[in-house]
Amino acid sequence: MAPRYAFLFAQAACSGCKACQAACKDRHGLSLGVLWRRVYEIAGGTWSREREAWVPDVFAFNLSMACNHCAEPICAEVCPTGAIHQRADGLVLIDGGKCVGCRYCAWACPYGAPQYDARAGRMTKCSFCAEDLDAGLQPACVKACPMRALEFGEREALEAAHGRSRAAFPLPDPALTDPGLVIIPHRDTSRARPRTAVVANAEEVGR
Amino acid sequence: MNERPLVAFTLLSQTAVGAFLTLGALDRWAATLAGESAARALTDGLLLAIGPVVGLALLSSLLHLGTPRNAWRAAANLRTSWLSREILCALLFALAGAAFAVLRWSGAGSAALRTQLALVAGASGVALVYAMARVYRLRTVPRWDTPLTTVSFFATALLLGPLAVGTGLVLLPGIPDELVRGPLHWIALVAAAGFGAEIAAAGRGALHGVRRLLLVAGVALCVALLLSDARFAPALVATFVVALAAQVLGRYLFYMEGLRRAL
Repeated sequence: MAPRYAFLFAQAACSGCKACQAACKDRHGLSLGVLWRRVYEIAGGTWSREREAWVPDVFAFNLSMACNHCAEPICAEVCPTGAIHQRADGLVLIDGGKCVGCRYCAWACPYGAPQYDARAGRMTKCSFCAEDLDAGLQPACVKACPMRALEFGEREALEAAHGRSRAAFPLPDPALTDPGLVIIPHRDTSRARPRTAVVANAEEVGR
Repeated sequence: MNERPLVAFTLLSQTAVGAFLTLGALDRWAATLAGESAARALTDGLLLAIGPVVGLALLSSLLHLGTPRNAWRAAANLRTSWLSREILCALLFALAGAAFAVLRWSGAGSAALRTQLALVAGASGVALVYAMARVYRLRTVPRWDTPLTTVSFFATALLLGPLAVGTGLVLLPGIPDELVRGPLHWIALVAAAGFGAEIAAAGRGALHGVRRLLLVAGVALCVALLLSDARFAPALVATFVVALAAQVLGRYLFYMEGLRRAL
């Protein structure tokens, strides 16, 4: 059986250097404003009082996110032209020639993976570096990570080793699309909620 | 906010569907009461006016596309995509409606064929409004994935369609008073129901508050129309304008809030 791939992201190991983001942009020659992989900086907390002293009680961690090549890809489900398809090995790819540029996939995807290329008038997204993968190489983002925070592999093996991902902020419920994403969570993910945490670099990641 | 073409597309096509169904009811009512020729005098002009509205709707849907020359592929995924189904319904509504209007205007074809075309157009119009609502009921967008989306889209058709027809009836010259008084009261009643549904479905926040005021003003105008001689043109036109303003604002908020995402 063909492997179904997944990304593995060790949140606590990520330093937020964005080498993955830049390597992806470089590898695929992405247009201005298009980021197939984005590093979200999640931050929250406030001052808290300890007797007579006010001490900072804050947290910050990163989330590197591309396309999770979901087992139930809602982007492919809703695409009106059938331009988005799932390969036999589970990779979800866009056929740019068929894309009408309606952006409906971007509305539907809860991970922000489909990115509109205004120059081409079409949707684009992470291909898991399918050509490199087929040639036995690693995806550019994984290859670039200096902290070994980002890995990839067969989904079943990664889930067996690290468990399945949960819906920690700001990630959506994985039951919606069954994403190929395994996260080793940062210790503060449980503190981050919509009201207590923000994406601190919202402008950078085009949110 | 770059979803203006979609605000136009959804509002115009919902108005067109509502107007087509209103004209159908009006036509059958007038034909029974005063004969076919009176019915035609009442509805023919307004039926033709739906054409440009649908044309404008389809045109604005193209404006939203990055690669319009691929638009012909947009109905290729009927198996799973409500967007494809929406496009199919819109084309069916436009083509059946246009064929019906041409046959009726030229007098060609049998009465049975014309009736069948009108029924196909009406049914695909209703299907279009339903499909349009389903397009937004994405399981990944909780703000859109509620029955309120469906309610609001049908309420828009019920509000803007009949009110557009009513406005046409009072503004067009040569339409006999005794024929329009009854229908205008019915239109006010349906519009009041539409306003009511939209008040119930309205969201929270300052701009929603402004919109709710518009909707309440709409209900008040409808009540005034019902209590008075509904042929009073300024009140009817005002009701239509209030409804249009409320729905344009509502649709803007709908897109703004639905597209505000976590990632």
